[in-house]
Amino acid sequence: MRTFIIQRVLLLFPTLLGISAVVFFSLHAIPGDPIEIYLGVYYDEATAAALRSQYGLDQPLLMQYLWWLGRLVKGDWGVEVLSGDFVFQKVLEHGPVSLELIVGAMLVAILIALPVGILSATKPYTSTDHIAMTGTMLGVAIPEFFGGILLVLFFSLFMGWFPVQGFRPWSDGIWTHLSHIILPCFTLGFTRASVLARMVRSCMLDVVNQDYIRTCRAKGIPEFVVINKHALKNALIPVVTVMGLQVGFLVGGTIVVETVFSIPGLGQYGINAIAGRDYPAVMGFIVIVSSVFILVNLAVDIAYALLDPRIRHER
Amino acid sequence: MNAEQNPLTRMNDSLFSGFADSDTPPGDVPLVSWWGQGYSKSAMAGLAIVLALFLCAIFADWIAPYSYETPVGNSLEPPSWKFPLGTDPIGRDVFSRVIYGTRIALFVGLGSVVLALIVGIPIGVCGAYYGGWFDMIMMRFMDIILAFPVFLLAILVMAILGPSTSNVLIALAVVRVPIFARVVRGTVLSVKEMDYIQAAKSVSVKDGRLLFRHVLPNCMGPIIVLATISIAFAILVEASLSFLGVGTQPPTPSWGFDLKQNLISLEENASIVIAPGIAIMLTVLGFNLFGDGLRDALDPKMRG
Repeated sequence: MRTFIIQRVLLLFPTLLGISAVVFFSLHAIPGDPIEIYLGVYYDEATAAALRSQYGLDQPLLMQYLWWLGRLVKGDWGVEVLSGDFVFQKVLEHGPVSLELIVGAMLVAILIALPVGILSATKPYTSTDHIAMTGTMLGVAIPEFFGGILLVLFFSLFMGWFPVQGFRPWSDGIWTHLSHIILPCFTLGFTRASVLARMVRSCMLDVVNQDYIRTCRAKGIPEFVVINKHALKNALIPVVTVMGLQVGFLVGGTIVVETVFSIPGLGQYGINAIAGRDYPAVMGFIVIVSSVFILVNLAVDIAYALLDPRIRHER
Repeated sequence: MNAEQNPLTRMNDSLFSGFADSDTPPGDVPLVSWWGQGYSKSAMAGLAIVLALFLCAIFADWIAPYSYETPVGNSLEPPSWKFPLGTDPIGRDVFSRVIYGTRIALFVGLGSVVLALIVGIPIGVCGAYYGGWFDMIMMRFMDIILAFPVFLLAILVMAILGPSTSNVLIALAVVRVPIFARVVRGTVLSVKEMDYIQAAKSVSVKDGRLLFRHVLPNCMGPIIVLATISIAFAILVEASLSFLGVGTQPPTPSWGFDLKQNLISLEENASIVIAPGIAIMLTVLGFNLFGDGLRDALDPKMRG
């Protein structure tokens, strides 16, 4: 077990290095010079050259990469070319908002997917099952931005329960904050819930037909306990692995949902940085997001090995 | 990170293909078998939607009452007999734009999948068939690409290439290549151990003929299923990218972009926001249902 974890953690470094290299070199292949965009009509050779050497943009690409990598490790992520703010600080500022969205959405997804999946699996091929599975099929087909707009139409404009868009910090009061964040979380959560519910259903169906479940029933254990204790525990193992992947999709989803609801999260920050061709900001954004994604997947892998002894003993 | 032994990566592979109800095993299932298996209602509904979309795209010039480019009425007119869904902020007919939008959606959906297949299949086949350093390097490279969240990678590629419809197509192909390559590799690895391949080898069938006549045709099942579901995925991501403004650019009629542009009239006339959204939803639903139906038909494990 320990070797497995050490192996996985060691593999982390080449992956992160690979990602940073892909991001750095591909972004520098973009035509269009940030200094030119920054100076706009005030562009002249002397100022541009001075700025280039100030930001190290006149060095060879490989040197720039190593230089950037070295500072990245030290927590100095450079300054935004356009505003002069520290990228690291900006990421720390915007990050928690997106994190909250992702955690909230994951909660929504799990709270919907578990009951729906279990219900479908315990009554397979009945009308309950068909309705639930049709719902999940629709849930996957609706793009996040459209789902968000439908929720706004109904709950904000028609019912008047929630604000249409915007964001308020916790300091404005707990309800004020929550009322701005509930619809975005549900928007993101519904799509993920649909995928998870199908997964829970199919894993549950696999488990329910196993011999040990028949043994449980034969012993006279109430059906509710058989399903929710004995069957669920084993059915959830594969579902856990899907969680990691879901986080990846949630990351993409937050970018869209933050746009729909005008929430100042990391996704908005990244999109703006890309529009402004702000290299340090874009790289900071992509590196932080993919690192979190990889760490979550690592955690999921380890959790999977802990949960399922068969994997542990293979190694 | 050994793909064959690690159940995690195996599971991930199948997950990328949409709903991983089961691993799609290789098998020498004739392609036509799904016609003979009786009809699944949902698969037929999917097929009907897909066919309707193709008809819309082909006959858009006849179906759409107006052009998608030129304003034909006032800005933001409500639905009427003249404009079935109303007009957008520039005064263009929304119904016509939704109809023409099928062309963009199908172009990006089919195009990106075909491109991803053209690149992904050779990588997967060569990797599995010859193994060695080529396989090793390619798979590590694919692992790095897969380490990015999908949507983030698509945005990165769009940032590099710049926003346009054909660049969305390329971005989506880039995102999809590693998944195709790994699924193809996994399938070829198991097919090449089959007795009939050994038999073909023992009568000294040449490598090329072996690949194209015996190995590849028997790998087609999982590839076709994955491709169908990838089309749905590509259409969904194209809409999202265009919604964010980094995808298809105006005046090309993209559902995602139209939805964003029409948002300002959400309170007065919601129909011009909902129409492109429904179009996206139906299209994705159609390809997903059809893909699921194909999987059930092509996958002997799921049958019975």
